[in-house]
Amino acid sequence: MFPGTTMLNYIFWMVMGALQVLIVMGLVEWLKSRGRKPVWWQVALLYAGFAFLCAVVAGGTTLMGEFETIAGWYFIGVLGLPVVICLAIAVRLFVMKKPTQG
Amino acid sequence: MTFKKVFSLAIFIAFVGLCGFELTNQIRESAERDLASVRYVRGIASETDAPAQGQAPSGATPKKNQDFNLDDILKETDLDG
Amino acid sequence: MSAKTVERISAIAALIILLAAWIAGGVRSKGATLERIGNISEEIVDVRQVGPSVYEGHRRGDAGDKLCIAVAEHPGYGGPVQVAVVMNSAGIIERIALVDTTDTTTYVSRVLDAAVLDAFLGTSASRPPKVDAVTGATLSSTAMIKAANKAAAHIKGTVGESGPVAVSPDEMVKAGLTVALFLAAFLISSRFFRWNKTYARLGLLTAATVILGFLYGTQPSLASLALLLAGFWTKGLASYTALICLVLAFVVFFATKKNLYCAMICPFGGLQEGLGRITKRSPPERTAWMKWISRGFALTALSAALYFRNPSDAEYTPFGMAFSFIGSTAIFALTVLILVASLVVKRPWCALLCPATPVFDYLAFMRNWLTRGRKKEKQS
Repeated sequence: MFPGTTMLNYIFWMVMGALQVLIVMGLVEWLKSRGRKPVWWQVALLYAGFAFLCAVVAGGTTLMGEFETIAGWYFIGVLGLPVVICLAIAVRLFVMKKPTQG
Repeated sequence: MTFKKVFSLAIFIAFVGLCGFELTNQIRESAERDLASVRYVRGIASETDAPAQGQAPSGATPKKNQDFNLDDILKETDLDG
Repeated sequence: MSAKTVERISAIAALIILLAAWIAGGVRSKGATLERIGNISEEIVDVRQVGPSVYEGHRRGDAGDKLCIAVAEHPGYGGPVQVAVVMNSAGIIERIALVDTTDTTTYVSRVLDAAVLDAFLGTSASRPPKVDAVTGATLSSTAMIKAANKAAAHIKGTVGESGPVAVSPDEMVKAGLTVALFLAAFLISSRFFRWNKTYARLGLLTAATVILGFLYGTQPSLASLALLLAGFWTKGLASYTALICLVLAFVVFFATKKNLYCAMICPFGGLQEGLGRITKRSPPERTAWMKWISRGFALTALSAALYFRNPSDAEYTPFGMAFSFIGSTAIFALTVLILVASLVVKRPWCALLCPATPVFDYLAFMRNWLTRGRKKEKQS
């Protein structure tokens, strides 16, 4: 990905992974502040969905980088759509509910 | 301006843009096809054929033979050599 | 000028525009066939008609080298597919050309790229080649092959009586299912239906989305309406399902004064509504100028289709892309956008730009206008 360097590839992906974890943990903290406490498996599902979305965007942009721009857009469109739908279902089930007691 | 109003306006403009692009493409293709008069022609001796005037470019261009000299390529890309 | 008067003037103007497009299209296509035959190759000169579908010419520079050209057509998906065949005096097919077709460009390109027509080159009319249809474009490729065979047979003089095109049992099943869906819709909307109407409607919508959408991929669209108006169906179609669906939608609309198709049967609407139920949103806000723009789109598309006598010119809807992946990149982007927006607002395409809304609005307006006039006559 970074031609001519040695470490930058690894550092890049470590930073990406750390950012993803921070984003999802931030979402969990925000949910707690709104009074809705997500269970551990819900957090795991949200993280998996978000990671899959990142993977789809990464795959699509890789294709675009290989001068297959249309294929890149189709990749994102065809694979990203089910991901967005599943995330919407997850948000609907886990987030958009009245805060429960306890 | 509520979110719904802005969102409705945004996606409407996007729809109009995409559908308008598609419609104008199709109408342009139909008009070109009108001028070309024939959609697709293939002949036995197609390389020597002069296609009719005004023929659409998507018509009878035969596939070029891709010359492929493996030795030349290997000479350049062989890492061990 | 009141809003009512504006609507009335636009309604009449729309009708005049469609009629004008139809007439202009007729003027345009007269005499096109002979010009197209002559355009097949520069080598063929002095083309003149010698029989109903047969033309004769000779090679440039050699008046003795006679070349025979025949044109034949066979019903394809959207209308007749015209193929021309050029045969030399030895009976060998030298050239083959796709003269005219109204099938969707994607399908036609798929068939042409599979070299279906090329298989006829070099063969003689006495031994027609065995060519397989192209998967995913069966109707278009079968039409082309049959038209090519017919053209070759024309030259030989062995064309039999071209009787009515046999309707396959598959088509009968599709037609039967379509009728059943509409009967169910009619039943649910009537006052005889005693069970929960909301769930019934959703159930029917789901069934229609699966059957008409995912299974068969034959959803009526503006192209179907153009097909109906242009009268191509009189020459024989390979698949009548979309047309039957459209006609039934209109019949039910006039019978019940309600647009049951959009609410209970349209598969794309079903898709959007299904997604919208995940997030339980409300419909988008549609202003008056948006309404007029969508009407303008529908009118432009229909006029273009009638003028060019090509129903697929009217196609700017994403129905084909959503269920059968047919269409250009722009339509793909449109489909993805609509499906994602369905999670935010309810049925965005239906509410904002779907041509069904202007069409049904127009029919309702004309019906009200005409029946009100008749009611006034009765009262006076």
